[in-house]
Amino acid sequence: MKTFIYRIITKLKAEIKNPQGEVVENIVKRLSISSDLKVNTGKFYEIKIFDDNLENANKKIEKISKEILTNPLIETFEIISIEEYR
Amino acid sequence: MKACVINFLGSNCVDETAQSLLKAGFFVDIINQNETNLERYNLIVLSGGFSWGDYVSCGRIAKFSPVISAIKEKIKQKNSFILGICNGFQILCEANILLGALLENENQKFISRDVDLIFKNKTFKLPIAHHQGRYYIDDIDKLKDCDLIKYQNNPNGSYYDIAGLYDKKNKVMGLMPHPERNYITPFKGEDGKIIFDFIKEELK
Amino acid sequence: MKLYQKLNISDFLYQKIVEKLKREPNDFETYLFSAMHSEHCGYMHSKKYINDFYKENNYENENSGCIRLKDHCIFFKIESHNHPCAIEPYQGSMTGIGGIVRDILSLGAKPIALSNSLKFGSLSELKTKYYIDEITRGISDYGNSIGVATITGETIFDKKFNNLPIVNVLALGIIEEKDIKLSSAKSDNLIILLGSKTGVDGLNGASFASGVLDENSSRQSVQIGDPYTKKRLIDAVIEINKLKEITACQDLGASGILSSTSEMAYKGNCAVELYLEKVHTQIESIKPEEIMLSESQERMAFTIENSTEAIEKFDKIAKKYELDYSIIGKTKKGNTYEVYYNDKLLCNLDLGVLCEPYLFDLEKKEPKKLEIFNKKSNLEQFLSMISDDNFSSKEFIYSQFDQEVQGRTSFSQKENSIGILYLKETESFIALLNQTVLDINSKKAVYSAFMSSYRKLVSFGFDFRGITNCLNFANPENKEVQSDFRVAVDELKRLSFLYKIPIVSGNVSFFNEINDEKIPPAVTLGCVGVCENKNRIIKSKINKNDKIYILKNKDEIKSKEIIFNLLENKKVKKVISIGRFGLVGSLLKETLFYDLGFKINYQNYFEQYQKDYVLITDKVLENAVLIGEVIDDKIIFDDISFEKEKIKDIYFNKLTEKMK
Repeated sequence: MKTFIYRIITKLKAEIKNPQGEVVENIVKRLSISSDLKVNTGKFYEIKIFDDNLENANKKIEKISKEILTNPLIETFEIISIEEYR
Repeated sequence: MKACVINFLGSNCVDETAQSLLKAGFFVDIINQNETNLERYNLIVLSGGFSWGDYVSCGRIAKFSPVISAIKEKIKQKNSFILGICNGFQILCEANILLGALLENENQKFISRDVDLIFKNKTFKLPIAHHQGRYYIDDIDKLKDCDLIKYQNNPNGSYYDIAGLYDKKNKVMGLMPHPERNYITPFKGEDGKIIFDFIKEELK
Repeated sequence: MKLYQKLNISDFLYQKIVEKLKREPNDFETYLFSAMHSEHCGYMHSKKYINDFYKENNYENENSGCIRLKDHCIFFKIESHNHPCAIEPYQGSMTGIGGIVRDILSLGAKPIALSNSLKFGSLSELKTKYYIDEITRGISDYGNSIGVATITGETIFDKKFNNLPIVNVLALGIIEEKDIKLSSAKSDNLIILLGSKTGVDGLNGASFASGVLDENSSRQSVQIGDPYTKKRLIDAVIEINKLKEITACQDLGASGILSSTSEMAYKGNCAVELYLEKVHTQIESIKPEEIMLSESQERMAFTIENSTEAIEKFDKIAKKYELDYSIIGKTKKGNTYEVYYNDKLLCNLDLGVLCEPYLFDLEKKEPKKLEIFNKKSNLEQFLSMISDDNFSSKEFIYSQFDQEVQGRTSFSQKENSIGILYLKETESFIALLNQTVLDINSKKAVYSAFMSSYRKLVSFGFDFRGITNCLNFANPENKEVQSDFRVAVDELKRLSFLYKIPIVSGNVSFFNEINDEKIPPAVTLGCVGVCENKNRIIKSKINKNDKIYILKNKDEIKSKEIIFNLLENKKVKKVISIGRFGLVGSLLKETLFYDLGFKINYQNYFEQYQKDYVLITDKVLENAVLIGEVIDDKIIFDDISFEKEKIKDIYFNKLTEKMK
């Protein structure tokens, strides 16, 4: 049995108004750090999967990300890293 | 007529919702998320609360419950009414039983207050109490088969001022305001009756 | 440095422990004493003074006391969570709610209402805004999620709290008296721990809360709240406590497993054997002393009859709510506290020595009489009132709290300064309010808070029935603080006997100071009133041309009868008791709610907490003094006139704007 560590980010789709992002945009502008920026926010998950091979583990992660971590109408996910734990 | 209220782990408006249904003239059972036999119920209610703590997203985890599959089957038989209040509405959207999704409120805060609503040309007042009640739909035309419950003064940034919707074809209603709260409590008024009366009319 | 010194036990207290124990404690025992003989657990500076209030057999020796209503008991208690909130305001306020709810729950009562008393620094400080945001969010996320309505509260801004916010939270619950479970254990029972895994979060919070904060106070001793587990725990405990096999129930708060198991046994005159390897834990590497002192949240302890049938019943309920549990020990005859870890005996202590810390004496001096100079003009007082943030509506805070979940709330902070619940169980109404008056004279502070609460309850048609109190003070080693504390307690005692209002529960929070900045004495009262006559509760709209009267209050009890009579016979629309901003301030809050102003002519416009009542009515009243009427768009008193719209904006919108 191997251990695979996935790091996943979920975020609101770009076309949906993101109030948290807007707050950051506004404060950055007010502090004159930058006048032109776009901020999106999301959540970070670190998931350990115990499986014999990477392919199976990948399938499980796809399913978890699609069905539990996100609602496809409003959110997207991105697997930002996969690591085999030794 | 017989109704049931589903007590998901973490639901917290089950008792008062059941009391309201009793007052509205239903026989009421409280069932849990593992129940799959909904045969005997005319009305199935998903109450407010924080199912599974709303920890990933509001209503997200509840959609994997056996009772949700049973509800989907029940809708096909076209002999019942499904009502989702607050967290119940969020669950119905997450489970794709109703269209759209509920996002975090525009001010990013929990909002607990009374709101003025309009539904089928009737105006009335009900309380809202939610953190994730900003209704979102990518295309309003998708709701052409739905009657809309609208805010008169949008409190949370909902698209098209939508506080709730009624899918006429499938007889499924979801709404963020709490009709049960303005119905059974002394001095709170009885505007919640408008929703319960509508359901009884639809079930005739 | 010796271990006891590292654990903040003073040389003096260590000597006292050695004397009682007749030997030096071993290291493990030293850990236990550092927690049990801390101010937070042991009430060492206050215990001698807080036990002889007026009482009516209200279970006041339990985790929370109660008042009785027919065959039901209404349990309520207020508690401070100041130190955790100063360090980590979001988790601190969450676990504050979690903790106070457990005190109600441990008796088996269903929590049905929450309230809070929050004292923040000046709103011109950036830090204050941070504290307000985080503490409000913590109460909101936790209280709303566990499904208990926050029906009322008070918020006070004062620059003396700039670096140390005061967070007092109150929970109220209901239970049929026959179902109550007490916290004294019986011998030859098993001890069960239910709920979250024991972890290293909130390690030794008790001794942390018993010291003066400095800038290096760490976040490690802060606990993490889990409202979803708490919601399941609430439902499970109510069900479990109905099992006849359960003999006692106790929550795990300060000093976790240690204080809950030792106190249950000490109260029940029996001995304890604990096996720490049986405790379900968060991490494997946790040490025995960490298991004992951990303040991980969402845990409850029970003693249960030693039978397979009893455990099966318990197991069934725990499984239904998906909660973990472990059988961690047993009670037996005797008076010892024995702890084992993998068969190794770690301690064998006399429960009396462990549970009875040394108690200090506090000095008391007569409070100085203060004379008030520089009498301001009416105009000056009005301007200073509207520029005071304390005057404006705190809606931006309370609108984040679910005020109606459970469907019992007849009136909440949305419309009233007190919360009113309908209890279907007893067909009666109860009212809840929090009141603190800040005054450097702690006797005057307690008097004003007590009497204004009394009158506020009367004005809504309620009999004052019980009090819980939270005494927030600075370092009790300071003589002035000692005296302020004793003066406040004596005044509360005097009033509770005079008006026969039982003090059913309470909490003392000392060491509220940071970097030599002391908080002023802050005595928070949580007051409960009862109304069994629905006719006495009035909900009617105030209109233009309604008359404003003053009812002279020469005798509190007689005035109460007169007001109850006026309410029952619908002779008045609204009765107002006078608060912090005097007659003008109290009247303004009422009329602005209906978008109206007033015109009055009287003398005493701004005297705080004055005893007379204000009546608003569309009828003609005898035996009351007509002082003016409700008008449309102006505030007129004396020869001063203001536009209502301007005041309305200040009242409703100022704080929301300031928080941006």
